[in-house]
Amino acid sequence: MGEITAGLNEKFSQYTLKWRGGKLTTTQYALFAIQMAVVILLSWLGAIATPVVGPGIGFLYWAYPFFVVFTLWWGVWGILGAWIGAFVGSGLLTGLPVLPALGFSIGDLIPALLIFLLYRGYLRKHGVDPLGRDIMKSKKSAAWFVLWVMGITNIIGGLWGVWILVLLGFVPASAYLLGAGLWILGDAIVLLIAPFLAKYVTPVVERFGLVNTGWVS
Amino acid sequence: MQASASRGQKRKVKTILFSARSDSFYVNMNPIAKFMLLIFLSVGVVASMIRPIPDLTYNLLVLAFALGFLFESGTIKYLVKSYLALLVVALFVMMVWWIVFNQIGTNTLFSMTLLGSTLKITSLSIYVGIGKISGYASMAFMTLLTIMSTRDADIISALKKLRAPFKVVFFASLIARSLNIMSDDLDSIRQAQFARGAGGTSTNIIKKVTSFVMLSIPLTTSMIKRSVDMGFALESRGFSKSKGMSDFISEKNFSASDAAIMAFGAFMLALPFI
Amino acid sequence: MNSITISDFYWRYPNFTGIKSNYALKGINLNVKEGEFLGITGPSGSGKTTLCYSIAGLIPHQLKLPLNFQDGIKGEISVLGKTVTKADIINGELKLSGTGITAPDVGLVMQDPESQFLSMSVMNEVSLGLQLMGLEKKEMLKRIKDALELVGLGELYDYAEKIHPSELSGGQKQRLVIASFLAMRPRILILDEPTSDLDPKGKMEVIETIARIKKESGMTIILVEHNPDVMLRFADRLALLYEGSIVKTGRPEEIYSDKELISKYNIYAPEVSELSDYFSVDESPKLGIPKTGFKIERKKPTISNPIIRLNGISFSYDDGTKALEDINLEIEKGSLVALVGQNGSGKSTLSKIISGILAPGSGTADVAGLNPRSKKDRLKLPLHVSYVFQNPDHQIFTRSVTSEVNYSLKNAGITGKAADEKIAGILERVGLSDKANEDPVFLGRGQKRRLAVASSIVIKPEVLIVDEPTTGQDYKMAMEIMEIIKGLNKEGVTVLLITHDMRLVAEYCRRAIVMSKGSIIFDGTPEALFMDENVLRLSSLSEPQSVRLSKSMINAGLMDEPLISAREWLEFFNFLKSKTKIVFKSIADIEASAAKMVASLEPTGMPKCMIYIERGGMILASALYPRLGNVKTYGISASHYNDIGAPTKEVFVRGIDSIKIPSGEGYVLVVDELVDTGKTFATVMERLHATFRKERFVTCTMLAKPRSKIKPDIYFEEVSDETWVVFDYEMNEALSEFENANPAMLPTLRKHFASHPEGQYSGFYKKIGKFCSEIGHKPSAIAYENPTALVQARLLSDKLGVKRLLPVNDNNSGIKVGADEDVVVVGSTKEAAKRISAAIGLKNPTVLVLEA
Repeated sequence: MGEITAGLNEKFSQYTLKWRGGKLTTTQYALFAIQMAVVILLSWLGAIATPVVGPGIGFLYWAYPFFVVFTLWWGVWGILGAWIGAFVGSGLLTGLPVLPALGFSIGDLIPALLIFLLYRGYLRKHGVDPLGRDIMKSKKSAAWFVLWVMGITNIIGGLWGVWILVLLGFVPASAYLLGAGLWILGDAIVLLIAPFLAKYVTPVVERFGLVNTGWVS
Repeated sequence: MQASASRGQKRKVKTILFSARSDSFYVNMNPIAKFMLLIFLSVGVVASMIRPIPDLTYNLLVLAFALGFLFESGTIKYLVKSYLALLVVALFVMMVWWIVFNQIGTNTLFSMTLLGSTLKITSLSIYVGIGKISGYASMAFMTLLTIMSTRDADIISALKKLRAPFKVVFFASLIARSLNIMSDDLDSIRQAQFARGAGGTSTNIIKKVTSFVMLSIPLTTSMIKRSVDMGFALESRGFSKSKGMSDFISEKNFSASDAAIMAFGAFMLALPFI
Repeated sequence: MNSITISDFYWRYPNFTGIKSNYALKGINLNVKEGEFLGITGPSGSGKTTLCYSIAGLIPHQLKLPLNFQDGIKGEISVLGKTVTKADIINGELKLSGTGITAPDVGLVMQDPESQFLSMSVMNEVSLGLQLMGLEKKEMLKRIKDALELVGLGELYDYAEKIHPSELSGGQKQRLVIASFLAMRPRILILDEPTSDLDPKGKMEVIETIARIKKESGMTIILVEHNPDVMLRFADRLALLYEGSIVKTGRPEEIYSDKELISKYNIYAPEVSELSDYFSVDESPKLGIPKTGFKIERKKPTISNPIIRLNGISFSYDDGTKALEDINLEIEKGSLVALVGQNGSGKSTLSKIISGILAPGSGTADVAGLNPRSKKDRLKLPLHVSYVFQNPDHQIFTRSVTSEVNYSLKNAGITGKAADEKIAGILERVGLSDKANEDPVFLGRGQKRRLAVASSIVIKPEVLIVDEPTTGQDYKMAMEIMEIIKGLNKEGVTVLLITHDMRLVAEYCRRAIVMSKGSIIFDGTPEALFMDENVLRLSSLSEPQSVRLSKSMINAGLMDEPLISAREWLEFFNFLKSKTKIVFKSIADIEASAAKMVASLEPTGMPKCMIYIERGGMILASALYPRLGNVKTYGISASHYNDIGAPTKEVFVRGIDSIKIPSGEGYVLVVDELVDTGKTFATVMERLHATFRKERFVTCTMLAKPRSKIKPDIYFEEVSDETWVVFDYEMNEALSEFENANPAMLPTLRKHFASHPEGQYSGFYKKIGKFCSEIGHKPSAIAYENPTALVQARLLSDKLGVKRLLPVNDNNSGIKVGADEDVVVVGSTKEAAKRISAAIGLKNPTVLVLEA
């Protein structure tokens, strides 16, 4: 065994909101494609094994916590993965019509985007791990997770998704709040596993040098 | 189980989901025309569905079209086997929601009082419900028909035709390819987990959630390993040295029948607005 | 010209956090010539793949490197005359230069074809590289067709656009990857363990493809492979890697013959290497193998208390693929059974049904008292049946070795002190105690595999199913795992071993079940399986080398029952040793035989020409020569060594071209000292008959054995098959052979040589002793004046250990050597030696002149 290298993981400073649009290695290029495939797959498997509680509304969306950590790791690719995963995996592949699928998948893209912005921006500067590894350790980090990830962004996503379904005539307008409520509640429950993923799996990706330090790479 | 591919075996082609008849009209349709048709018909159905009273005839027409080509492409059996139960539940839930939350009509067939409010079922609310589920079903069948009759190579070819940049086209191709690989890996991981006794005999939800979380470690390792392998495989073909790709060999040109089907799509799209 | 030059190259994989990894490559210096076929072998983790990636330029150019990586890389790699990578430290900073990725000049075929497919049809897969090269469609189509044909997939071309790579068999997939690179017309092709995940048929397909490329293209090939058979067959040169360094390069047969090297560096060696005291790597026996009363003791598999009972089990996957059809099977409790067959034959599906992962579609089943058709029972099955999957990465679910083992225990409801004790015990057993707190994700492949086994067996299952336990592992690791499995089996655990490795089947199992297309096509002992050509063909299996040896012995009528493993062969040879007899023959005995021979020939008249077979027949020919009236005499050699000195199964006969049989009546006498199995003698006679169709040959030997496939026309003594005949002129050879094969006999042998007079040649013995110490090395050949210096050349050959002898007649027809080749010339006079040297084209010969 060799000697210990500098503890880069101790510092949050490298994980920022810088664009870092420089050249991707081909391995990263392949990795981002694979992660999108994984989100599609998890969305699909999650959606077909999930209780349907309303027209186009599944209760537990298992891919959600995965795309949250993928977003924290891989920035814009994770955000795109959240959108494509929802559109293709829990949309097209489950037989959900193309138009609602296109529309409601934005309801996953927006939360992913907001989560990335907050963690890599404000929270990083205020001592919260931008990769979410400390959610189970620090009260502050846990509070932000509940407020921002399980709360605000999830609510925005839910309200948006069900609104689209109402607009397209899938959900009766009078059932809007009920539909959105079920959507938000289900997602909040599955999001409880995100802190575990962040804590246990992030170090693996980090050790391979595959965590993005900015939006793109 | 894999069979080695050899001469005379290509009566079927592998598609994004399952496989389809290789000589089917729908399978061989230009992918752009196919996707446009899906959008036209879906918009038509949405136009029908957002009316206070959906156009049942229109929806049934689209449904019949989709079913016809599901037969024609040899994909109907997969729909029955893998999606029927799922769709039946989805349609049932939709029907219930439209009856419960859409209290319209005067011809009451049934009514009851629940927690101080009255729930009534009228012939109109049933008609609307049927209109909604027929619309949903027709769009779902169209979507599944498109997915089950389209090969991933078709998508790439279409993107290329639409002049998308080569790295974007290739990225889409890699996603499609990775779906295949990661689906196999995920299966193997889940089976390995079951073999370790994680299936459990109890119905403890916490245990089931923990099992799900634990999938993430082998899944991530597998993702990283596959990405290194794929990255290296790409580079070995000269990916980053290349200044651009020459044309795909298998590109489908627009034919008269594609034009005819597009015209049909445009007509169907216009119909609800006439 | 060198295709590849690597100078003092060092590389370590970057770790962005935690500990620095060790060097994966250390001080690599390697030159590969253009058109050379270089094999690379070595244990797991020795750096083979890393070396391939470095040559392809993927390392370091395709990797993200951390800051301060100055000590991560050093040295230079050049490919086809261009510097691909050069690492310099300038002002304390690492500066990397070079052209980087070597595609399309270098093609790299990796281990797992699945990960290398980047497209969705065969056509697109092969065209991808060509598209990236920007070729025209017409040119692409031509190249695709050519490449598919070269790898034997030409028949797919018409459908190539419609075939998805996942529809291909394992062998076809890997050949498709090779075709994808061949279409790009690379000048160097690197193949990194291209057959490791394939069944025997797939392996053969790929190997034959490589052979075809080697023959037809003349490109430089680098092949990483554990399989010694492949290396022996194809590689011009072998590089042995160990812990990141090249520890040896040389001809494959040279490396595989070195027992010490094999065991020191844990490399897979041909099975006969274990029997190298008795066999050459070419499978030709060194010892006489008599048909004896030897009988191997083998347990017969019986069924009295089955733990697995399957009746009429069928299974189909969701897409309609029928994976199992009407399986009827019983497996005895405590047995170790092999489950074999091609990829996709249904082995894994069957195993998954037994372990409860899949529910059978129809039929009845009972596994450890549970019913796999009942969902409730199926959930309990993992506590009774453990399944170790092929890919260890897919079965690591936690972040520490201890918790990984604990995961199984927790699922089985075992916690607390009992769990701690079990964890400590099992880690000790698999040799991972010192890794208890490490992250299993970052363990080596062999360690991960052992951890997977540990995690599966810690719950003390009644049945253990192991899927390909040795794939991709070096010999030592593979044996470690098999010993663990064997140990468990001894403790009563029923083991089902899924494998493509027939050596494991032969060595560890007493029952083999063969599957093909979802059905069981054979169920019996391994020896019965290996002798059933029909089943082997149907299931695309191939027998292990030990069985191949047995078959050739059986075909030659030398054996009745096959011996199926190296262990059985060793038992056999130990048995033989106890029966071996030594007979000593002196030069005087040979002289006496020669006199008898001439006497027996007198009634029919003297031959018009004599041909002797080197090296055995040399002394006898020398004794006959004056007695036959200085008849025209020619020497021919017959050996298993090919032109570059590599041992093969074929017998190579050399020197026939230089024979000029005098015209006219009479016969040709062919002489040798001893006919043993008769294989070489028979081949010699076939060639002579074919070359000189009209001539009559009389064969004559001093001794013969009953088992010989050819009986000489004249011979004077028959010795039993188990007799080892030792001639006085092969003292050194005999001593060194007995040292390995039968050390117990050595004192007798030494005593004999010490006391035995060297007769008329004692003076010459002294002279060559002096001569040998003067030249101080082993020359590549001995050229001698024929037949004058026959005896001397033979004696010198024994003393120097040189086996290549060149008989030079007056007019020397045909023998040529390199002008500067290291050849010793033996002649009766200085002039004769000079004449011989000039005749064979030698400039500065080392000359030994005979006694006056």
